[in-house]
Amino acid sequence: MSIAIETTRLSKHYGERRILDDLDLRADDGRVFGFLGANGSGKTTTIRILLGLARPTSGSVSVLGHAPGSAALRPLIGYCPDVPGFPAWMTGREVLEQAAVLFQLPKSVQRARIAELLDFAGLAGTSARVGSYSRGMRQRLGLAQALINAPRLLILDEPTSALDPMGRRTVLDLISRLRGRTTVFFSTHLLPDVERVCDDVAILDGGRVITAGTLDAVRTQLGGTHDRVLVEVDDAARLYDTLVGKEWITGIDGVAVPGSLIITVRNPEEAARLLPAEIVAGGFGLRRLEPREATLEDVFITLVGSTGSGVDR
Amino acid sequence: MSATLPLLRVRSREIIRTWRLWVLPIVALFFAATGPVITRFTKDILLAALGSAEGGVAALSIPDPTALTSYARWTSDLSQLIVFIVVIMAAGAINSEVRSGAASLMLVKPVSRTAYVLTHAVAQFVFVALTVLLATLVNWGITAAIWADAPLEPILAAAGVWIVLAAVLIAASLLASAIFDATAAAAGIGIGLYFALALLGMLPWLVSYTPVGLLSLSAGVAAGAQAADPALWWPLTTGVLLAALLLAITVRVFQRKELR
Repeated sequence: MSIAIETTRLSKHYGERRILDDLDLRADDGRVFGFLGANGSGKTTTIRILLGLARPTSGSVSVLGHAPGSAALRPLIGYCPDVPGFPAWMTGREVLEQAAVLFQLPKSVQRARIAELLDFAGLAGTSARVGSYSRGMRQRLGLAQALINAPRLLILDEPTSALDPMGRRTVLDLISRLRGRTTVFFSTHLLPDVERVCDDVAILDGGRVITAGTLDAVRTQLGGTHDRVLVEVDDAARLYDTLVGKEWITGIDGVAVPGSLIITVRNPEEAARLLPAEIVAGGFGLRRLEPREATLEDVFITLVGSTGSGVDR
Repeated sequence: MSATLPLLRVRSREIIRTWRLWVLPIVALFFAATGPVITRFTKDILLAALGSAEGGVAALSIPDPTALTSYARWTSDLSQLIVFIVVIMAAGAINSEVRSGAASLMLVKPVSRTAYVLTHAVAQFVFVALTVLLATLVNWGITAAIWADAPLEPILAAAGVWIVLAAVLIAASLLASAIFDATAAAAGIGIGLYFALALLGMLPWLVSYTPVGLLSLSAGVAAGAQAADPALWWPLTTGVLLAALLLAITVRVFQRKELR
């Protein structure tokens, strides 16, 4: 599999301030890559360097085999920032027309693609100027203009941060559909979005990649299913009271499903014997008992929470 | 990759679709049209208001206004009012797009930073030049309607000299716009350069051989004190060269600039 994005020991300093610190990153061609990190972890700075909008202090960067910002690379990429800026006097259609002209698309392609993308962005019926758009409308238009050239690499900086649930679903569905044809590299701190669409992830903290790999590999990296059990009984509150304080249990969390608990145990084999015994002894009606996979959120909070830096980058 | 022509179309449409289309032409045409009338009646108004008898305004021996007086007024309006609108327009051209993110969205596409800067400069310059030439023709027409012997050549030559001055100020303001994020700071640089040129105009050698002379020569040509002859070529040529140099520096600065 060819490499779409590769950075090696990439660093970016502003004076004494270290924004990126020997960042090693690799995104394979045709896959959906989630670039995760807390606010200020260096996600946007990395994207700016990939796009040639900022220069690295040291290290190397290759995007689709080209240098960032090079003339050969620009026709191959689409980009949407978290808050896209457009000339306020333009309409949404004019923004797309301008983008199509800058990519020198043939007229017939322009017409078809602009109509399709206006429809996708839900802006086909509006002739209002962009200056009067809501943040969500701007973000949808930003995504549309990023797709105008049918890019080989789509770089999105927090693409769903301003969208309502329907808009978010539309965008995530679109990203899923692009898999295989387009490499999608998107930064976010919305972990459910990543779990839904990404093949690969990298978690960034303090300007360094603290873990990276396929989504499954990253999830299992922190013990995966080994130390968590989901239990659903007829009286979860009483089970909580029964289990709390047991020395073989290290944590109990309620979950969104009523009547369920997620129990973190010290030793999975020990828990496999003791937990059913407690349920029987307490006379609980058991509905479900199964290992529970670590979510990306578990991984993220564990990793980032343990190293946590917190400056804006 | 330069995308110069599409960018020029965008710049032109921006001028047509925003406040720029109205502010500069309206102000310029207003002063161009009213200047000759005010010039024609200023002396009469003063005489009526302050009296013409002994000890009154007559004692100040105000000369009768002529077409050249009207032209001098127009170049004075250009240099004392219009020039600030020109500077402010150019001072916000680059940094406002950088601040809004529009510049980065455009520059990740097949658009060179050189074309980005130069199309701003060309659009601003052409717009200012056409507006001032149109307003100058209006000024001449109204002047000719009041003073039948109004010659066209001095006022056109004066406008030409002023347009070269405007090119220098546009280039300087664009440079400041590429350096500073704040439009006010960039405008301050443009206006500061204007006042520096005005102050340096007290040095005769600089007036004769450098762009410093553009300001006073524009007024001198309009008023008939300076003929539109080869003596103008030094300030004009060095003015054009200075504008080109400032633009080259702007391109270089913008190529190195990190965008958000």
